[in-house]
Amino acid sequence: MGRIGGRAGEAIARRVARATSAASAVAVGIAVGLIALVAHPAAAQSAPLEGLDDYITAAMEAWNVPGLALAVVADGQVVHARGYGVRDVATGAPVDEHTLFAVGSTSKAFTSAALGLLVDEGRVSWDDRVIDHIPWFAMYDPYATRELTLRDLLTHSSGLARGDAVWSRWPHDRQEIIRRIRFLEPTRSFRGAWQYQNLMFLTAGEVVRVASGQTWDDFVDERIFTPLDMDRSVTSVTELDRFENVATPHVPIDGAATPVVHKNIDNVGPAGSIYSSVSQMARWVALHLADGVHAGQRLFSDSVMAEMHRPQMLIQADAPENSLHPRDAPMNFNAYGLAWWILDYRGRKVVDHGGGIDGMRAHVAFMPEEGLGMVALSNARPNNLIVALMYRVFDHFLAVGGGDKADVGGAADAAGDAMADWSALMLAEYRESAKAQADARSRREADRAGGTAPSRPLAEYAGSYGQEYFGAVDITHDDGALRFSFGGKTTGRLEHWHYDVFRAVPDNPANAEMFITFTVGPDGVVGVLEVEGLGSFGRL
Amino acid sequence: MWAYSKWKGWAVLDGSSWGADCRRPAWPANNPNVTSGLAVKNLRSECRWLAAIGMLTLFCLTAGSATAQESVPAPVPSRIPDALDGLDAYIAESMPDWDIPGLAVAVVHEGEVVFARGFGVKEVGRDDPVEAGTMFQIGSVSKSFAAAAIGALVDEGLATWDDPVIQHLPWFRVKDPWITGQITLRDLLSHQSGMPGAAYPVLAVVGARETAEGLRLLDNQAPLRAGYRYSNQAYGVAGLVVEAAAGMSWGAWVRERLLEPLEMQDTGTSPYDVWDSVHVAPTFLGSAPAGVPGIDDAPGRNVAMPHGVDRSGNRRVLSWQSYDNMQAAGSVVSNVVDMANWVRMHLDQGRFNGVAVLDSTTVSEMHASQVRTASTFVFADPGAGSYGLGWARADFLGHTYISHGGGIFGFPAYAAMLPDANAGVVVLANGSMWTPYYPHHEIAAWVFGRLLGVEGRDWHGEVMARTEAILAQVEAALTARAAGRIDGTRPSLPLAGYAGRYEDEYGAVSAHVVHGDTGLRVHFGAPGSFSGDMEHWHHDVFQLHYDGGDGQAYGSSIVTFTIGPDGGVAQMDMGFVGRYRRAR
Repeated sequence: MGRIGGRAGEAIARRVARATSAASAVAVGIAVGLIALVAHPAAAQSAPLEGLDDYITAAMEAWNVPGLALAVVADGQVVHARGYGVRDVATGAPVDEHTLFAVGSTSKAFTSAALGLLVDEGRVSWDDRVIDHIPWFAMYDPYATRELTLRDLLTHSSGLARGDAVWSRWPHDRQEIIRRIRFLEPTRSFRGAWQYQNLMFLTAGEVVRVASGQTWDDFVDERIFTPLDMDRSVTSVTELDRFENVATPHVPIDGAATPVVHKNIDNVGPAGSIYSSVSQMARWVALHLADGVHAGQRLFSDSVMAEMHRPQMLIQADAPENSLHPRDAPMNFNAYGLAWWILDYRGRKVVDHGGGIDGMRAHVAFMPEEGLGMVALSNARPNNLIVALMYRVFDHFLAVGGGDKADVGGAADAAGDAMADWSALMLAEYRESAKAQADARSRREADRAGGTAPSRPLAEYAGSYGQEYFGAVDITHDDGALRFSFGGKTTGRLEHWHYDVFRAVPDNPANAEMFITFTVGPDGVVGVLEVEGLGSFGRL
Repeated sequence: MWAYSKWKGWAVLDGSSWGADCRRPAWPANNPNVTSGLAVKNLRSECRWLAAIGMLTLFCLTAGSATAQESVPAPVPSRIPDALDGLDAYIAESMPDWDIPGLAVAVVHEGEVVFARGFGVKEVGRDDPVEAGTMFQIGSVSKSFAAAAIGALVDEGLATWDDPVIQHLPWFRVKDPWITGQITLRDLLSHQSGMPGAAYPVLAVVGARETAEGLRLLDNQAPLRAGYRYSNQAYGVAGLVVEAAAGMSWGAWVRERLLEPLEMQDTGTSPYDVWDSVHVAPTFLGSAPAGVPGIDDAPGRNVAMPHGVDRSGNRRVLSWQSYDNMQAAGSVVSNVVDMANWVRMHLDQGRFNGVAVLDSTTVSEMHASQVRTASTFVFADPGAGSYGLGWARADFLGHTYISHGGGIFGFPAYAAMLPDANAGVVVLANGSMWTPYYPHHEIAAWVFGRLLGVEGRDWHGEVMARTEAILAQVEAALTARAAGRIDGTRPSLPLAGYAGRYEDEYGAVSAHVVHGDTGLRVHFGAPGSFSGDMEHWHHDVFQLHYDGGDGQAYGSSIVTFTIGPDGGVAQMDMGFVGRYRRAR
């Protein structure tokens, strides 16, 4: 397929040509140029994206998303970049295309790109073994320790489940978390299944540090942000105070999007700690669409780019949680490259990745054959609107004037117009899963045994409990109430549920509640606690 | 690792030693008409008995750590013909202190059996005296037969000590694939494989092959060759290697290559050689399907019954117990007359009546130190212990001392050799082990001390003093445990709420909790499998009283339930018996 113009460009051209009744090659060139000119900076919507602003505004209300920014890249140009809604419901300050958001796991592609730069320099190879760069690194399984490669780090093939609480709930630093990986038992065979894994990207960041002599943060800043003029992009939440115009994260509390503090995830930085704006991220997308060239300068080799964008690991179709995509979206394959999903949409290859941390959601995507890309950043979690916008943007370009303006999945009917209403479709799916969660909570309430009391006086539950992988859980008793602390990072109160089961309510409302079950031993001592989903912790 | 901490207690079963019950043993061996009744009960209530596996481990450690007197290597005297004068009087006088219903002793010296006789009774409440020909289970002394059975394969070129197990058993697997390929016959026999001690095969009724196949699921108790880790499972595998390499059953090979040339005609390789199946506990911690048997249930057989105590501290008869799913670890049944021949062959470097049953280099390999251990012999230098192949090795007064104990419940057994004195001792008893083989050790020390010309040692006094010390520790541990019991609590749920099926973490075996007229019971499925009553301890903790086995040695263990967020039981932790999740 020809690269010049691309199919999206042709579609735009066709539409413009029809409008001007001058369907010629010359007109195509002019039209594309015009689009680029009018679209940047934010201005009246260009023809292909007509109606998009209204669509987004309405969808944000439906999803309860306070603020969102969207950039679209076509044929090497930023054709759309603007903000919607507010940075913070408390201040009402508006979002624009320069507003900083957490990009979450879309940071992972910066980590794979950082290794790509080192591959181009001959300092590492994708198939280097991790232990050749980090000799003290160990997986639970010695075979995996020996064989795990940089490619494995970037493709979710480790066989490990997430084990994310070790960084999200505990204050361990990067090296300490990597050291603890050896205690995380695999749930699937090594390279036997695709399982999303943040700790492997953390480890990839450590390989960047060892191979380059620079921290992952400095390397990404100096070698990627700087040449791309991403001067408002940072690798740590701690740097945000240098900047104005930063979005506040929001989570739903009693149905209302409520501001929460920015979550510091520097201890897993290479897996997701970057903050940026859509206008800056648009350059990142354009770089990928141009196969590694920015402003006429080649930053990455073709081969490194190709390696990142090609399927490396197939994603099992039977695991719905492995796809961000709506059930009804036709998808012939679903794979993972090096920090990118690789899938197809309307017959075209799509390269994308989502991101989400406390109160923030991001989506970055491009369609190489069409020279088309997008970035959506938002300040509410959960929300899948940002993914819906990818499809919407693609549809805007692909459907124009063509027979493939298909009514995909019946969404058009729901929208009541000619275009598929992905947002409505995904919102319905989200509400379904939210209802399932609410039902589970109701069942749990129904299972609650009335009239029980803890076996022991509350003070006897106090103490430190530990586990090799996560670390310690401290229970304290003060003023007739129990509190919990995961190393001081995740804290909250324990509410008696029934018997020796307590509901742990974190102080930070962005953190989910947990159930903690205590066991009284033969010696009458509360010897063990189990945090639901995190396993047992023995009294220290 | 969980498996290690959960199961390490099993090493105690046969390895060396275990704990005590009572400070004033009152069994009058010379007066078999006095039955257990009141005397025993009183002393039980006075001092209680060992109850928790954690304490057993304590004993294991303690037992190896003491030696008494300064040991001065003594020159081996020429045989003093009357050196052993007074042995029977000494034993008879000591038996009340030892609290053993009956025992048989054989002494070998200079290639001859110089002493062989029985003491006490075969079964409490009966007059039938133990004789030299009375049959016992020898438990882990069987391990010396396992090593010799493989030694016979080595002699015939059918195996070498360093063959990988998988060379003989291609299906064999442990959890770690690298270790699977590396474990050798030497590793199995010297307890260096790191395999589990013995897990569910002593609870549930499972076959030998299935037991060995189950190893693929279990965590090893230690890395390969990280040191001495007593493993009955490893010996179970060794028995299967014998069958594969010899092309016949373990029992047939042992009989053909060892028992027949050694004229051990009474000796068998399974309790089922002696008893009808209904009278044998089908698994080590199980109970006989037909109920507790007595000597009348083995008509025409000269058998001793093993004894333990019940939960009230009363002496009780146990059934013989099958170890046939790990046969080479503990299945041999014998008497001291036959066992004297076994010792003679070992002392004569494989020869018996002038015929080489095993090559001398093979016997030397079995006796040689393969791995360091704490010495388990009370009178040995504790720092100079080691294990060979099916035999433990220690230093007694400067002389090499080779021995092995056996610990089928109620059947403490012991074989010991002092090659420098060209002497050996076999002791088979049918009493519960209130101290870790101390009577057996004492008899061996008495005999070897006499033959070495040692004077001025009060072996009995030393053993009893150590016994007192250990009992004090037991007392302290039990007091500590009792102090942790909280009065006035109730289970969180109605008892029926605890009933149901529970699965172990490997998916290998299920435990069933049932609620009946007597309260809660637990069992592992088939008739005769591990089972017991649960008595409320406090909160959601219950005390488990085994139906089979010896409540004195193992006492009762503790079962701890955890109630989950859904209000039902989530987990049952049975301590050394394992941890089980409620099946959904």
